[in-house]
Amino acid sequence: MNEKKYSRRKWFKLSVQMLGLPFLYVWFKAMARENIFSSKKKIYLPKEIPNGVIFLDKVLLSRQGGQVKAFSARCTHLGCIINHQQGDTLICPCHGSKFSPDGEVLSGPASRPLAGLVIRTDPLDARRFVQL
Amino acid sequence: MKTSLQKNYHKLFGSTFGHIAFAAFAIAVVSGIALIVFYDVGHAYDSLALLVTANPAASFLRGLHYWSGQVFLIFTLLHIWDHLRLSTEHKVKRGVWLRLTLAIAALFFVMLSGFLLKADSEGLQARRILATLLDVFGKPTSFALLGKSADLQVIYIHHVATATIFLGIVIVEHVKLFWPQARTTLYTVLMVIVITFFSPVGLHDPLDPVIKGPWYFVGLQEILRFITIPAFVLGFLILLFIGIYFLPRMKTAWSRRIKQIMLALSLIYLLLTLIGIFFRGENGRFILPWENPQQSTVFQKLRGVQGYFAPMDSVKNIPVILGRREGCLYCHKAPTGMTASHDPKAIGCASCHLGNIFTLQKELAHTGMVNIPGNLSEARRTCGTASCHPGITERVQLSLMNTMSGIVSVDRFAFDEQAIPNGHFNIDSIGNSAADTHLRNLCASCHLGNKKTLADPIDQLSRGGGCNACHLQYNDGAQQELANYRKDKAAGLKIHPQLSIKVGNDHCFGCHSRSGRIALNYEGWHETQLDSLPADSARRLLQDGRVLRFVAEDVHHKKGLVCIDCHTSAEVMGDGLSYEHESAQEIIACGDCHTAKAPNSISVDELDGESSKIVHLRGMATKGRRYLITQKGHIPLINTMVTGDSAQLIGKISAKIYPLKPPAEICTRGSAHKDLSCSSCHTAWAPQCVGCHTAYDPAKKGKDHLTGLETDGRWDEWVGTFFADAPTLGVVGDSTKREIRTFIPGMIMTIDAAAFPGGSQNEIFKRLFSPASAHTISRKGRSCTSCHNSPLALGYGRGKLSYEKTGRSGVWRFTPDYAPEKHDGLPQDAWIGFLQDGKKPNSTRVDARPFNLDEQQKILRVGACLTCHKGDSPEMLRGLDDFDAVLGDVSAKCLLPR
Repeated sequence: MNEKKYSRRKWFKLSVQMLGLPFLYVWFKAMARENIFSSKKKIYLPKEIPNGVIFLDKVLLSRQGGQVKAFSARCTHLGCIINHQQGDTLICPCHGSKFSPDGEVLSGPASRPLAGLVIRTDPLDARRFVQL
Repeated sequence: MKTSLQKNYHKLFGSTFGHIAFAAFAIAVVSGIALIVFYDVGHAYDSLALLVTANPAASFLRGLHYWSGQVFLIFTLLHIWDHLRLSTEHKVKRGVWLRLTLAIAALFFVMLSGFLLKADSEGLQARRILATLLDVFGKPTSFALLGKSADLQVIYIHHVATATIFLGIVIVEHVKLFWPQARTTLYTVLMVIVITFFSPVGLHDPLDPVIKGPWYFVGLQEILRFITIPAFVLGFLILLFIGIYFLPRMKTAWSRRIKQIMLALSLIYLLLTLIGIFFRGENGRFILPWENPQQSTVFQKLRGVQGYFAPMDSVKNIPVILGRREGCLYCHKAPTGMTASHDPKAIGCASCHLGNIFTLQKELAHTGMVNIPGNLSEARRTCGTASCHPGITERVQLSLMNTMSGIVSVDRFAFDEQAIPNGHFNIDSIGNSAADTHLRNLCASCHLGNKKTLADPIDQLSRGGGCNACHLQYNDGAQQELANYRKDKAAGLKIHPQLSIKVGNDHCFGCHSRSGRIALNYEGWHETQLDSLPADSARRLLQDGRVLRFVAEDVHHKKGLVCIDCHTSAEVMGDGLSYEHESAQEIIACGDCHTAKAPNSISVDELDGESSKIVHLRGMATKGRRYLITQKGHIPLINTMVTGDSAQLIGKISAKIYPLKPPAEICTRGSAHKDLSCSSCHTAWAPQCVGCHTAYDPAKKGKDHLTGLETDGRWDEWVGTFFADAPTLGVVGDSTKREIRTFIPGMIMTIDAAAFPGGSQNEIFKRLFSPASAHTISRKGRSCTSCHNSPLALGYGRGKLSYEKTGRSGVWRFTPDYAPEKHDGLPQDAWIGFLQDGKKPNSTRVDARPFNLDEQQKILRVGACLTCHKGDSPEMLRGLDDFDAVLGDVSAKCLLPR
């Protein structure tokens, strides 16, 4: 019999080549499933929201006149949380992007407006909340 | 032939970059294993805060771990650079080179993950940035490397295991040694110990608004400030790694060119890193290192050594304030006296006083501390931090109480140093001309930016002081505590003075009892020229020795209103805009409260953020409540309440309710007085002075109130005579819109600058009147004759104004009380000559002037009628509606002026 001999090193290489991609596929699938378990958090809004901007955890509440708007406080440039305001300007502390209280970009590096969040009302106790 | 730098070092120190890096890696691994016990991945920041604050030995271990990591990174980079310089990459097998290239990425990952595991505000922001960058490769990639955003478990495992093991294998394979060299390890251990000892590793205070990445990524942070699409940066980094991987396979010329480009880029990156570290402040603001309050000095850094020797035996718990351990409250156990919003139990001590919260060692904790927060030079870091009052501290910087812009421009104008009394100035940046030195000697102490340096209550002698000038309140307990503390400092201060929005008039008194003296006027006091207090109950002695006599108080003061009942925060602290003069920053007007029309109002739900916060704090925010808003700027008057067509004002301190009355019918009748301001009639009196003189004396010692230093030579002022009379009237506005207002002599003064270096040799004479609200409002307005028949009201000065009737007409005659001034021939107290147009310049404002001849004649024509007809006679009341019609009906007995 003509028996072909494999070294241990060759065997490992072949195994990685054969099983590497299926392994990664299964792993990524598992992680996608795990992501589902990371459910969104409810953040309740204060009863009274004055004119101006309120920093509420990772949410920005902005009220100009009668209308209240909610935005994600994540800077659309690289995801830093905006927690500072100078006058009417919201400033990202990491790279200095500036936004208006309406979430619009005033100056870069960010190019997209802040992500708006839908304000919902809890049917149980009529409290307003956003999900993040 | 090139020689390896590391070989040269080897000759010198007996080791190479690579071996030092290997030794440092080994130290990092060992110290890291030792730290596992103290690090709680579930409460990462808190466990590190406790470690840094109250466990000096563990803190030292953490320092070893941190610094060995930095040494590992720096010497690995030097090692790589040295190899590339000598082109030794060709000698490395392809597989090994691949692993080495990947190890560079693993090296940065293991360093960065250590930074993220601090979980302080910088670490958390860095994690978000990394996650966003990794998301470019798909969410699972960032999930695989960083895990769920809510915890640090995955990063921790990768830091201590995955990346570290991979690095260990690659290093061993590359170095071909299992253990680092003994002598190199010894030297490296010694080096890391020395660095750790003299440079302890702290934590980022969450209240510190400056966010920077780890030093090796600060250059990248700088680049990202200008890159809108971060994927480009990521793509470049990947290309860089691919370039490094293919270097051994390139032709020599290509390889050399790429290495030259890499070296140039590295130097640029190094420059950007230095800019990021030393020249960036809050929100990336460009700042010079010596102007950066957050930049600690070498001496302050060295003081950190004391933290290792703090006695810790009795430490059991350190209070958590605003989500962070605050060592201050371990020693200063809950001082009392503060209002709820500033209670140390709620905001700690360091929010205002700064210092180092992560230590229990007294001197170290007090390093960088601000004893008296609120001075404007530090307000951005204390009162004005992101979580507190950032908007207000910025506004105050531009407010006139800080810039004193109008005072600067008028003073320079008076000294003939500028053509018009206008311009935007800040007294902080004035020079040393005659006028500016005059300001430094006599005026600048009232500059709000002047530092308060003593922990004392605000009194009549207080000047400047930033936020404390208004908001610092010492109750009796705090004052007694301060007195006790000064006798025995060991007892400490247990009662803290308050910071309050209930700002009493005593806080305004110090500065506003000067110049226009509105603080005195409002209470009814007039300054005399006496230098001692006679036995007379109608007189008052001030702390600075001035003697006052009682004249008549403002009706609002009589009713119990304080300054802040009328003056809004936007007026007092500014509205964020720069103004030239106080009148431009002023918002409140009589008509805002006393209106004949339905009042303008705003509902509680429509209030701006600051007003809303204040109405809630003051308990003035009931559902559906409406507030008056000012005509100028539509600023809500938060201490008012509008019900239908009526409104009430609530005392901000007294809580007393005042119905707001509309103006009397006579005030709004007809059009004759439509241009009159309310104060023109209702100002009972105003302080006035004539015959003033200011001169420079080089022989006397003075004080520069901006620097606080003594000066050789000083300006002195002498007053001629003080009066408390009804004010002069004049015009503010232009040809399209004018308003009659009250004026006082801003200066009828001679200026002698002959002795000032470079000063004018000719005596300067100025006769400038200023529009001024004297704050002496009386309920009853002044009589018709007090304006139409008064030489003082018309600007002629004091004297006898008489109407002589001759034949079919009359003529006005004026005999002044004062002799003519030698400089302009006018009576000393006059603004204009009798029935003459005023000579320019005549006012401290460009838009203000005395009555012109036509206006004087019109006023005196009415005055002529008033010599026979009473002010409330039907004829004169008719004249308010249409004076020309009245003139058309005059009888033959009426003798009008020629």
